[in-house]
Amino acid sequence: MPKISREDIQIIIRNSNWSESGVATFLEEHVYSNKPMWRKFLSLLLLGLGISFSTAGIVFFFAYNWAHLHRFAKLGLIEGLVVLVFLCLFLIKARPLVKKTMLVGASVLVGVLWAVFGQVYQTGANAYDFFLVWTLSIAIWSFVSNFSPQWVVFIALINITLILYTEQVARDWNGALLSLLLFAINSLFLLAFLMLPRFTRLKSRPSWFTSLLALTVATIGTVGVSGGIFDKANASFVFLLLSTIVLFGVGIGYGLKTKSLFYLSIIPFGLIIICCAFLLNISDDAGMLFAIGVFIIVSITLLIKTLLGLQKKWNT
Amino acid sequence: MKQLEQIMDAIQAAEGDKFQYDEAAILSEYGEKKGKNSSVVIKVLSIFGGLLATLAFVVFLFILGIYDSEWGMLLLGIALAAVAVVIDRTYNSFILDTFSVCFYVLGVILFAFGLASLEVNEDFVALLVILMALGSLTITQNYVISFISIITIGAAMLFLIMSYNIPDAIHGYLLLYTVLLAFCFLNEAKLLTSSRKLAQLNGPLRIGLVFCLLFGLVAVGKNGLAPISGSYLWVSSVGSIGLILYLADKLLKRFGIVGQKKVLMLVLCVFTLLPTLFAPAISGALLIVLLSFLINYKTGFAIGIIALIYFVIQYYYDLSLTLLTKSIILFSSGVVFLVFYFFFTQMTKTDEEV
Repeated sequence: MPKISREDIQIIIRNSNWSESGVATFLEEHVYSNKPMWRKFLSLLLLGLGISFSTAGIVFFFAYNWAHLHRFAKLGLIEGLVVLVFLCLFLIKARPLVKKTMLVGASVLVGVLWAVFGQVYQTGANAYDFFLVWTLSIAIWSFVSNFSPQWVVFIALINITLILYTEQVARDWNGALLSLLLFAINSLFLLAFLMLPRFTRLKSRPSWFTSLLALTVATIGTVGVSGGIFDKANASFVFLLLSTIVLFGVGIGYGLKTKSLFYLSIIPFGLIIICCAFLLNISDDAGMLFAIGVFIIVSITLLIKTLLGLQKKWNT
Repeated sequence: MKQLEQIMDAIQAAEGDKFQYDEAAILSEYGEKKGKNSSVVIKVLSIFGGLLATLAFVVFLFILGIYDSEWGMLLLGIALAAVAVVIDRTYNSFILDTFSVCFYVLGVILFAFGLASLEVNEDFVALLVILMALGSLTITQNYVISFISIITIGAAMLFLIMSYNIPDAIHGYLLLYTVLLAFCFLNEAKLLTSSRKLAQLNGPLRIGLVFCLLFGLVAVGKNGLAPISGSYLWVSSVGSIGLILYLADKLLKRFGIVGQKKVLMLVLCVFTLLPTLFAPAISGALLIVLLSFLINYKTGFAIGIIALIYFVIQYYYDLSLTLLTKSIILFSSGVVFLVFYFFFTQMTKTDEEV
């Protein structure tokens, strides 16, 4: 039985005397989730809820101010927990998915360990070095387990570390330089995750993960360039602009090659916003705002027209 | 086309001899649809583009000083919304969506502002906006305009509740939208076969109701957003918990689990859901997730999961207990979920072996 969409069903209903009960049975058998899908969903839901709730419980436990507990006991307890999780990974027999999810939990526990360490020795819990050591501590785990949620935690930590570093240490950096660095780091990850599976035996990442990363890269590029337009021009802005243009071009090429509407929508949308910022920088009087409104409508309409055309071409 | 033949044969086999269809019409619509069928990405693109353009035009009108002329705003608003509806009725194409969204939203905004600056009572303004949205809903066939009208109605109703200062009426709002959402999701076949208009509305109704329900859930889920009294919180939960149990019963029946095993599963469900009795946002988001998964509706599912994560975090954040108590509650629920997980995988494993 070929795959059928709701629109196809609607077309058939419009041109036939298909009965309501018949449609209901058809939907249930061919469109709705079946037993294996429910089994997979419920087991993932329970596993996710279980690990995240128990990890959150442990985090809250150590966030509670244990004034009478000696610092060695506090640190020892968390280290003991991390070791325990780690031993479990080697000793128990479970599916790789369970073990990898447990490792994500352990990665959060490492963060708790450093937070308590900072609390005990008064290093300040939100300083960038806290996130830096946390990131470094789970780096090897991320590479070894190669599990998408683990990568999300790892990449998010790198970004947070960098942002805090600019806020707390490198205060003389301008906005464009930060955007450039964030853009470069996230793009490298994205390129690696998209390209490595083609040249090596690594399995390709699930599409939610690469899409999330691509959306992050496109947002950083768009916001960075749009913001930079209003500032005084400097070298990092020029680099950011050039790398955004190059990478957006590559992204459009990739979207055309893989027939992905997602890449072909977010990148031109980013470009349209950048153009608006450029226009707004020239003037912000009534005439220009009217022109910007018209520009947005016309460009998005043309974009949609092109995308629909492409879709039609791909489908036939 | 060969796929279509296979599908038609399957339907014919199930329906029997009384099944008749216009093959030529189906084939031509099917061919026409190819390339016209817009994906979620394109709909999101046209909505965001339309809203961005609306923003530019609002600022443009502001600089021009239209806000000094009440009647100007009112009439321009009505004219813009009418143009949007007429254009999509005449052309009925996804390509003009950005245009319609922009004109329609700008029209509704100017209409409301115009009335407000004419010193019309704000409750009356909200009622008129609801009427305007209902009116467009009956005329238009456009997906995005229908969607925007549906969420406008929800937002205007919440505004009315706030403006009459009866915050506890939010529970009524939630109950209404919970039931509507469940009805739409569970009776898809009825909607699709009833009339052409309702079948067209099926898509926007699904996503619109999810958003309307979410608006209400945010109002009760975030402490201090609406001055609701805690003692009626269970009213909202009863609806979603009841529906989740109904879904569980339906599923167990469908997968052939009966007798003692079924009763045990339902009791477990009740005990798992009981703690959410005073957290209607969590049970509501869970209902969105389960309903969307049931009918394999991916957009609703993704929105539901994000909402669920947000509401759980918000709930524990707002909970006025010591961190130690929170920690114990969280950890023990985590362990319970893990026990369920192992129980569930063991059980389904034996199922497979049988």
